[in-house]
Amino acid sequence: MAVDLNALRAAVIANQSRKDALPMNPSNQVVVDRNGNVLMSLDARPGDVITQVPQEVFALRIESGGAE
Amino acid sequence: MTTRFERDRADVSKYLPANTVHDRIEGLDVWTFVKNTELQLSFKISIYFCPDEAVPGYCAQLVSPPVEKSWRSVHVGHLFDDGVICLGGESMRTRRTLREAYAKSCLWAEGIAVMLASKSAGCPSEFPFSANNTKSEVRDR
Repeated sequence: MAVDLNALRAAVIANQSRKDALPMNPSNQVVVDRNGNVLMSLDARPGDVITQVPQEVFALRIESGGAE
Repeated sequence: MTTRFERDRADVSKYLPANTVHDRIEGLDVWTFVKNTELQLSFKISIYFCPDEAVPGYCAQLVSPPVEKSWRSVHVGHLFDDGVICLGGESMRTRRTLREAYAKSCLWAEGIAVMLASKSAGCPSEFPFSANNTKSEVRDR
């Protein structure tokens, strides 16, 4: 199944803005399956073996009042 | 009691792509896989536990393809000059587990694929999966 990269980006940036690297809510979780496909947790098929992606910013952290 | 190698091998067998291969390089167990992105660009990435990092943990290193020098930046392309992918978190160069390094490196590959494809199309994009990147970083480069 093709992944909507724009939707994926929106989810990742929203989680970073909330500083929620490993969200508990499955609708906010981004996962990787064992084929390396990155997808939203709710789009994973039952039985898929998945790993949750830590979603904090790459490199520098977001500081209060803006992004570094 | 299981060794790190045994635990890593079990994780690789269960969670990483079937194309993952193991090598022993300079005393390190290195797990290398090919990540195919949504934009049909492929990346070869190696993951290994490095005890010599400031925060010992699992590094993810880009093997191929090469990316342009101006993107080999902790901020722009989230890639250290030695090819280690910046994975965020406290240490940036390492993650606590092999699975975290694998997962984060796959997201990184999707992001750098967007940068490569958009540049080829003449409309360069910043790294799309980090809130601290802006379009001005890649404009006119």
